Amino acid sequence: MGDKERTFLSKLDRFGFVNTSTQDRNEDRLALVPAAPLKKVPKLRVRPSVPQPSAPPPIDPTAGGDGNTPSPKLPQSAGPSEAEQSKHRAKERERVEKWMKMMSIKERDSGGNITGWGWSARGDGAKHPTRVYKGIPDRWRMAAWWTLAEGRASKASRMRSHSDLQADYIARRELPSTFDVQIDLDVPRTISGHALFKTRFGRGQRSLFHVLHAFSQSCGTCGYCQGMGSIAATLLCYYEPERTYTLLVRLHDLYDMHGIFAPGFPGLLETFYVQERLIEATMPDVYANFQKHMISSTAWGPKIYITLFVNTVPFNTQLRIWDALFLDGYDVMVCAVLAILWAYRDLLASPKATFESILSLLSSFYVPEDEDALLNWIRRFLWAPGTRDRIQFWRREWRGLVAQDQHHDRLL
Amino acid sequence: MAGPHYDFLIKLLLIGDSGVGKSCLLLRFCDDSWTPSFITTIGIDFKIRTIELDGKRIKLQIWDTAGQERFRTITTAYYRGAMGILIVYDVTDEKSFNNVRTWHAQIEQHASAGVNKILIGNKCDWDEKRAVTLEQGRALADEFGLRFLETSAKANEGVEEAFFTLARDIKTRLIDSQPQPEAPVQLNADRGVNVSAKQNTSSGGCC
Repeated sequence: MGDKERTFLSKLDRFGFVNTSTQDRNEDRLALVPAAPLKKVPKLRVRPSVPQPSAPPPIDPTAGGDGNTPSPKLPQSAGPSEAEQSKHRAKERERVEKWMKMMSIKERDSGGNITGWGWSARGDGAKHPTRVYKGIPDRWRMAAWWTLAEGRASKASRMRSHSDLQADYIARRELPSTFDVQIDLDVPRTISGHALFKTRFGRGQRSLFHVLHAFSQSCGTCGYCQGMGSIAATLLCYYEPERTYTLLVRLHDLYDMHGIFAPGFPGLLETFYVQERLIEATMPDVYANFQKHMISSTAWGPKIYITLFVNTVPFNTQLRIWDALFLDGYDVMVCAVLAILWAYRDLLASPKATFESILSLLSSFYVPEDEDALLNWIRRFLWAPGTRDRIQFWRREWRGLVAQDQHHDRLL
Repeated sequence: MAGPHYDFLIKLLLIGDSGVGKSCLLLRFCDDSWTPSFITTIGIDFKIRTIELDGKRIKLQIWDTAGQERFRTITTAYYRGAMGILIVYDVTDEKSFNNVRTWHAQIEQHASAGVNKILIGNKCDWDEKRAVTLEQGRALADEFGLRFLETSAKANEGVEEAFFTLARDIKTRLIDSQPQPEAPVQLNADRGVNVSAKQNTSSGGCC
């Protein structure tokens, strides 16, 4: 290893990023997600109809801005302090031990490498849902995401196995795709701050191209959609291309991403409908302000929902949200967005808020003051009795509206 | 109480093929910076810059769009509220230039009548890769009756001029032509008017 390489590698963070994402393009739109409002989780009424206003979270009198238009506080620094980091490391070492007991080896390849894991039968395995929300230790992430996704696949009917998909990947890598020009254009501008993807035509970029090229042939309806790249790149930080391909197929088939990528974005619009109903039910004051200022979900939502929070939150926060996503499915995305809106409720509902102040906030790069508080809010809200039923109810309601062609003008 | 720090609000829209440099032009114009490692725009994004024209402070609310065709179902809703549109192509990419016709047709279909337009040939600093000449660009602009400029977001050439030219045209069309009242005209100022198709409250005309 030369001096130049050593210097370069010494600048990387633990995930392999050259510069932290807070120094990225959104520098003028950094927003600290306050932790205090996240202590309280709104209750969804089991019955629909009249939305019951829940008490707004305490208004933060120190919220930034010039007193004219409300704006969020800026994060103090790009990342956690040295002291916090070492505290996290200690906590994570503890969790690594627990996960070691919780996960069991299911499969090894001919070289003895582990290729499949399962949840340990000895009691501990059942604790995994709660532990996932506490944050999967990074060295267990690869095993955990894989096990959660493959667990879902084994319960679903007529899912192709990983070995079938691996064969698909290898075959499709050699076949032409009509999306190649677009993919080639997007590969170098996908999380380029990461060491793996920095070099043009380097190993990471080539893997990313191959995976997207093969995946663009996997669903005739979806083909390639901009935003898939960010998801594939995140997965490539943990998996070889073959498994990355399989996980993309799982996200597409089992995590509602088909409707998110498909032309016309039917699943995205459905998600907007659910999101808007949730805002209306839990934060009627925010909903009223969105109506008043005509804050369309299409103006700020697509990026978050299509890329699964890539470049919207710090990488570590994104991974924490993905932990929950692999466990609980796409509803986690809506709940994560709702958590952020909840934390900013006083700013979003403020009578002083304007179209621009609201939309700037919604287009921010969100840095949570406390990741645990954010994930805990998502878990408590999603696991609360009735939440998933309500979400399902609204999904069906939207599909009904679409079927009767009554869905136009039903979104903000 | 402090009022809005501008006299007029003008809404602009950037369209054109994927990868021609729409977001880079916007970053150059609003933040005066350039980065080779840019990220793909998903859906729609916006930035603000307040400029001064003939002694008036004009706030430009500029909407940036994803270039991939799939995103048109989302982005075309933002045409209607735009008072000015920048159609961008890449002078090193002939296909992006040929597609200007398609983008122009999109404007005809979705934008308000009389919207001001400018054709932009970006990446003009990249001489060795140039595939579209200045004359070809100008000829196409003439055919459609568009203003035309070549720019380089990287070398900071023509970017200010492009946005200022368009803003001045809009000011002439929408503001200077109005009867001058005593108080400054608040053209949508601080009203947070959405540029969505549903709410065509902008003074950009209606069709």
